[in-house]
Amino acid sequence: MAIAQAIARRVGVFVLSLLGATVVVFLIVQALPGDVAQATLGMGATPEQVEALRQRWGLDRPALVRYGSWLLGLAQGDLGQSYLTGQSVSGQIAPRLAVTCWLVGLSMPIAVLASVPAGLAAAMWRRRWQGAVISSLSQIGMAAPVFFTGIVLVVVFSVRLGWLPANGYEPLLGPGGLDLAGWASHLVLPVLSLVIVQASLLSRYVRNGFVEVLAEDYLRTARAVGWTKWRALVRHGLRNAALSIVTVIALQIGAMLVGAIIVEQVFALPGLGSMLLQAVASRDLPVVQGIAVLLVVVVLAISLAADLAYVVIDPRLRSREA
Amino acid sequence: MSLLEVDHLNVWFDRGRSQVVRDLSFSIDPGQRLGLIGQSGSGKSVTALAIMGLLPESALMSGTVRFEGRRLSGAKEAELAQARGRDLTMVFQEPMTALDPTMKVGRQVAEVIRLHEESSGRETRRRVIEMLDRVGLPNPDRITDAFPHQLSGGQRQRVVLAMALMLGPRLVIADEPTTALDVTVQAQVLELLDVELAAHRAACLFISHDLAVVARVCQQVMVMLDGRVVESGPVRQVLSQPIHPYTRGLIATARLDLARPGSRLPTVEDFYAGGQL
Amino acid sequence: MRRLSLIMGLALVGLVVAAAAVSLVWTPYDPNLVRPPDRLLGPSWSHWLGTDRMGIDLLSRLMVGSRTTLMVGVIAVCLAIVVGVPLGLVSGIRRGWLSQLLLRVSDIMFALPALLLAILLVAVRGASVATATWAIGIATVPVFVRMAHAATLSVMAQDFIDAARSCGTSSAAIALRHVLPNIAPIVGVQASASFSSAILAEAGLSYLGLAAPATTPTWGRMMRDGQVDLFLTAWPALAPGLAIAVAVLGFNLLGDGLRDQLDPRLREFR
Repeated sequence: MAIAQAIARRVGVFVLSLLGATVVVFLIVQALPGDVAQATLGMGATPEQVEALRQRWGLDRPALVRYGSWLLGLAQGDLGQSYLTGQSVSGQIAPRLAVTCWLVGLSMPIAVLASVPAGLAAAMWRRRWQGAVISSLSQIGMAAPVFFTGIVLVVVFSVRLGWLPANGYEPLLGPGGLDLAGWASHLVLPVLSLVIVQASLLSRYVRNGFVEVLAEDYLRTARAVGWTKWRALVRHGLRNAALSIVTVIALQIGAMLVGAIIVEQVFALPGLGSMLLQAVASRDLPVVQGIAVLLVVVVLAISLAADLAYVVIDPRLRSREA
Repeated sequence: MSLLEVDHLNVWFDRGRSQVVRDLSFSIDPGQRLGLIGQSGSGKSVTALAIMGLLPESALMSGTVRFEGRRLSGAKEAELAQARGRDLTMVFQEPMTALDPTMKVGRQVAEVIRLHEESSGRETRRRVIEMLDRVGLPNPDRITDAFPHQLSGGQRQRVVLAMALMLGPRLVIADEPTTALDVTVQAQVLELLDVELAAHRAACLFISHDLAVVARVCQQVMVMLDGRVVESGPVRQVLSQPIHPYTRGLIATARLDLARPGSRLPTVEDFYAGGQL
Repeated sequence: MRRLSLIMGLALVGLVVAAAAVSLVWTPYDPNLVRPPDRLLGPSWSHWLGTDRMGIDLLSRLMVGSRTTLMVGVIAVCLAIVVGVPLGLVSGIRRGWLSQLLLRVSDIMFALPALLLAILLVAVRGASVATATWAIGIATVPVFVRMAHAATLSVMAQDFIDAARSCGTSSAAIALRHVLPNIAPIVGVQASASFSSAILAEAGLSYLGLAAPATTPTWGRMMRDGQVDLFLTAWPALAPGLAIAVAVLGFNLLGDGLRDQLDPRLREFR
């Protein structure tokens, strides 16, 4: 019962946040001063021409009406029409989604898998040089912007060694059938750049999670009944580390998506990010708005998932809310 | 042969700058119960941790600790871990934090069995419930599926005792096991410890700052001050004829029923002002 | 050992600040002087870090670029503090529906990363350093709201607040005299951490071509331009990247060091 209640509460907050987020995005894109129609046509356009364009884009309607119809469309998965091409935004996004999904979907789990042993070792050896090395590496990985990491990887693996392509993308299922090698070779460096940044960040939190457990009385109890130090730490620390990871993922998912946008630019990948940047350059506001909302929905959904995971992992939270 | 022999034990903290245990030697025979009293900071708990091999990494240690003739000091962590829980074990002061909050208590007790013995899941569960019942927990089959935060402090300390006594260790080190509990629960837990130690014929190093508690559980007592043992002997003798002024002070401050109403209460400093031993 | 991060942080931040300060009066070359014959030179005695594809001295451009980096960071973080801390303070002291609403809104804003917000603003208003700064500042506000709120709650739970209350001290006086001084150190630590996030965001925006025009030297923009010639020479892209990493590392270490100094609990016993 307690769990059901806690989950219902969080889903409620999620829905409200979702609504709030659409308002924020809409306000920024549509309600700020500045006339898109005027800007698109340039200073030479006559007021009649501008007015005609405004009418075609539906900008003559009051903001509230525009928001309402946009929201209604969103609920049905319709993100509106592009100013530039007149095509549906959702239709344009669909083919781009795969690249970005591969990028984020591959790098996240790899980063998590890498960060747990790194964080554990850093915690265990925090007084020795090994721990200092791991911590320093993660500091450096966090400080280097993802595009710098990406460029360094390109310099090493593409320019010097010539092992991997520096940019471009091959779909997994291309016109010539399944192309695993081409697909993978184009994704290795982008994924690796994201993994380095994310794993550095995660391992720091994992380390702190484990260090916290090291100071806990229950770790001493576990050792007093026969666990070795390492095994006690893994046994009791993993859940704590899992909590840290869940927290960081919830906090960092936005930054990670943004990182993916930048990585797409570094490696010229035809994903959501490059589409967003093209739309920004051409001031195609419905496309910008659509992608932004999509990204925010992902961020909020991941936060929701993290919240729910928290309830499952930490039994104290369950009964506190009961 | 003694069960536990501690020989010239020294412990330093702070990169050797502060010494917390000074040249400590004592032994415990099988089944013997030895009390260790002193103020907080006198080095009691550190002594216990040193015996168990649980000192923080930053501590330095010299001297030897032998259990049944086997050297524990300097032994490898894996070797020590095998002895801990099976041969000797330790119960800590804080029941509220001594159990992992994210794990059911039954599982935490069960792991002690799994660590040291082959045991089927069903058999393990039966033994866990039996043990929880023995330490006086009501509805043991329900409690085994409870999380620590759902239990009271006294119940948690019983769970910790269950973990410690599960495999019938020959030495139990109890570090102020009842200090954090309220008085009535304290008496119950002491009673339980008394009975269980007797049932297993286990020896005990009982650490406390409370003379009355030590007098109840132990036959022998050592008084510790600034990392040194200043006095030791049978409990009755030490309590009735204390030699060291510090011990006299401890006893006087513990017997507040003797203080005259309205007069200033005695402090340890009235008897012992520190300095030369 | 504990002091190490503070000292290294101060040193690295000092290096960046010094570069910016010196660039106001002196740079080895004119940071905008195009000299085609000198294009893509490697590091040498005359050009310590080499030159870019226009023949511009990289070190000079990096030094001038540090000004933008620091300026964006300072303005954005100050904006976030000035707006965020009072909001967090008030919502921590007076708990009503308004505070709840405020926290919800800041949670929603939290879901919007600085860079995404900046991209949205740039789409509407066009690319400029000012827009980028505003966007980064606004996106950082919820960080300070949350932090100040949490810190205020923990201060308010302490006994001396009740003592002050019982003496008839007003809420405003409690906020200014008791809460603010207690949360100020945490604000400082957060400011340092947020500063490095701001630097990363600005660099990212410049790299995407969404902040400064090509004529204004910024580190992110220099990397974007340098990447074109990656197969000829890596220096023009790598040098500004190193500069960004040094600045971010500096502020991260500074924040860590400050936190260690402030929080005695972290000086662990074991």
